[in-house]
Amino acid sequence: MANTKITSRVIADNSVGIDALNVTDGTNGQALVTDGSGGLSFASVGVSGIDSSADATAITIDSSEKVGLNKVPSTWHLDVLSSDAYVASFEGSNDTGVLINSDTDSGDIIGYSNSTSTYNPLNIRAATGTGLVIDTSNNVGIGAAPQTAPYYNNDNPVLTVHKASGNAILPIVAAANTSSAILHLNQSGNRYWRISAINADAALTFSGKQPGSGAGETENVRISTKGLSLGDTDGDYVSRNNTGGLHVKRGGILMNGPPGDANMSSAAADNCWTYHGQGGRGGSFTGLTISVPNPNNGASGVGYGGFSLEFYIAGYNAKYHSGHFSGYVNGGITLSKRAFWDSSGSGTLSSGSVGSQGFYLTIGFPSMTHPTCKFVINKGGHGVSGPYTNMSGVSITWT
Amino acid sequence: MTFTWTFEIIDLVPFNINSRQRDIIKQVGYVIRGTDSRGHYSEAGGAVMFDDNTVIADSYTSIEDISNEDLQNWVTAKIGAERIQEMKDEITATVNSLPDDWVVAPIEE
Repeated sequence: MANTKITSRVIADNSVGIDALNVTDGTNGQALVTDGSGGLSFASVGVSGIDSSADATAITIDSSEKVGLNKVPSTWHLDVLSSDAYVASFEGSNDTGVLINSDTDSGDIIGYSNSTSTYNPLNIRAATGTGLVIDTSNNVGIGAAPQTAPYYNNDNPVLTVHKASGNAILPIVAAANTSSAILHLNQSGNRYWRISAINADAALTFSGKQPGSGAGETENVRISTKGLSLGDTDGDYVSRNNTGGLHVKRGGILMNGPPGDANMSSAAADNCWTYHGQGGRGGSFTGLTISVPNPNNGASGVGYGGFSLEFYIAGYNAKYHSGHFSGYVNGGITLSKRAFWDSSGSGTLSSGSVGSQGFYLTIGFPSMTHPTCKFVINKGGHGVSGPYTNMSGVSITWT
Repeated sequence: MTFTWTFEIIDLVPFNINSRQRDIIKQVGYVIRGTDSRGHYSEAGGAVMFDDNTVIADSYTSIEDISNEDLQNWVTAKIGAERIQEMKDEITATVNSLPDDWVVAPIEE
């Protein structure tokens, strides 16, 4: 090299050309670098991991220390723009994965569109398809987007569990042998909670053991449009009008309660009802009073109508007492028939009114030990202006 | 208050092989009806059973000679005068509570 210094005339021009530097020109984008021994040359430059030939906006750091990848950062401290399906990947070597950390509030993950400033659904998944979806109404879908109609009231369900094929199973698993699995359904006011099947031909079934668990697995309860079946594995039993009703296949019906409290009853419009009661008791007794103080749940002139009462009493040493009486009630009673049979050849039967629409029957008999009693009360009536019957006041009293 | 007593024989034993007696009254049904001056009424009643195995021949009365008064006395003896009065008191209380426009079956259908 003939000269090792640039003349002051050339520098004063504030323009150093390639000729003045006396180095071989490089390619577009290259920079002048030193070899550390006084030699200069053009070469590609950059820091480790960043290609010097990357687009100038691949990483942008603004004066607020916000970082943009492929864009100028906007609101976010890390703002990434991708022109294809791949946005970001986090790869770790332990279970921590991606940590969303916030000093003072929840670390939200939200679906958001920078271009339209609107929310987008989130889909968190571990395989191809749909995993956990949170839509823009914050409803949640597992296996599918949150569903809408035709569910109850055409509301948007807050949680949908869906499986494209096969059974959709939602386990609630508690610690074995130490805790219970509890599904708590809470509502306010006088509202209700409901488990229902959308398809009219479908049924809700309940079992004490899980399906496929082998011996002992039994469909204990089936609820369908046909009614309620207990202990039935044969499908739906049809009630009289093909809706509602109760069918019991095994075990029968156990009416277990204190005397007078174990009963079956029915009620319908016009205050027509039937009451099946039983009330045996240990000990010795000489009388029994069955009282129906308010059969029509209303005042005089409401729900008046005919009534009948049958009773069967039996006790130790084959003693029995049975009979019936009937009449009409409206602010008092008009008796039409009474009869009874008594194994002792004696006994009494007396009846009268109770309150505005009530009646009673007192049965007297020689001392009977450990008696049992079954009785059936039938009531018809005119309930145009009256409510349905309230039978909670029915009582039996042994004396 | 006017009370009308009605007694009804609902069960006879045609022939008692032990006492050799016929037409024994085994059960008597009775109704006590109380009617007030408005014509409003209510009833109480029942039935009593008699043990035909203890018929006493000396006091036996043929069924043709039995009067309603006899039956009233039998029922009263069986269930007690106190019980009869209780039933009458119940009837009185019920009838007194009935409104003036009360009828047994307000709507004929």
